[in-house]
Amino acid sequence: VSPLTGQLTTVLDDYLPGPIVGTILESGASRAKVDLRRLRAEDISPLLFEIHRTLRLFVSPATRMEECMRRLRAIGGVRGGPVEGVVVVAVESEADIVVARSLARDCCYELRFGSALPTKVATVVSELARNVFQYAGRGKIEIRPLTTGRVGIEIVAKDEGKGIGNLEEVLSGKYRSKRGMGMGLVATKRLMDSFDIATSPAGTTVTVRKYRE
Amino acid sequence: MLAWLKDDVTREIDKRGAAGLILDLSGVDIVDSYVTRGIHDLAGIGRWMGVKTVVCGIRPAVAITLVDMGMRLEGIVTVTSLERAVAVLARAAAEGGQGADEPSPPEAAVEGSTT
Repeated sequence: VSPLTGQLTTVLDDYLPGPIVGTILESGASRAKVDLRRLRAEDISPLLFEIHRTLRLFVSPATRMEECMRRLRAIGGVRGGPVEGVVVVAVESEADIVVARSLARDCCYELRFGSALPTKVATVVSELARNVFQYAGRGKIEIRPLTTGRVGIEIVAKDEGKGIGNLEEVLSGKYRSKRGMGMGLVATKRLMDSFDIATSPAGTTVTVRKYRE
Repeated sequence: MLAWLKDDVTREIDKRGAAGLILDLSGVDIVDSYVTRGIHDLAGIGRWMGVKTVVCGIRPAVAITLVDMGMRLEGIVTVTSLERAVAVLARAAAEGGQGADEPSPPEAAVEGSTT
């Protein structure tokens, strides 16, 4: 068993009855297609994504669940930072879109975003990550909690694709691409408190923010 | 993912001679423009095939988000629960509504999840 798997098991043992821990890790690992015996730091994020839902069934209340996830993510180091850090998700597949939006939602919960805010933020991350994947093939999503001053969350989507040639038309809402990108950016703008986009033939960066109040 | 769902749904409608299509979104916690488009496409495909589509189980936070995004429902029937969706389709079939030349109970239920 890899040292990282050992660390995950130690944390999970604090929240779950012993026999379940192994089962949850094994089924999560097979769904995430990672090897528990040779677990690497970059495997942690997809693995946590898979076991997250199962954990929610066993660990309550929500505050305890958050604490558990925070401790698990801290083991990953790079990707899953606690509230003060930025989380970076590489977007290279459909599955990464799901990872990105679920990490963004977790971050919202940690920041005590109420009502429909976590859903709005997760939806925006979904839109941005899908644009990155569909039009540039790959890129990354940064999720940054804002804790000095107004509490909020900043999402940055970066890719090195060909850029958006008809940005004005897209943002006006009149343009509909075959795959619906126009809708995605317009929806993103409407859902967020601030929206900024820089695009050129060398790539596109979208920066959005949503505040708690 | 959506292409696969469209194939599955059309095959089942065809195979079962279904009188209705229910899209139960109670297990879906994010509906972005891609998923919205998928819902419209599925309903459109159903309509071309002569089958009425009912969407049910949209979560409160998802509904709030969709309205803020400016998403439209154009031509899509929505109800709160699966039971009501079945009732709506059964009534439509009984009244000989769209696609119900030979009234039969609705039976196509395809589960989709986009978590």
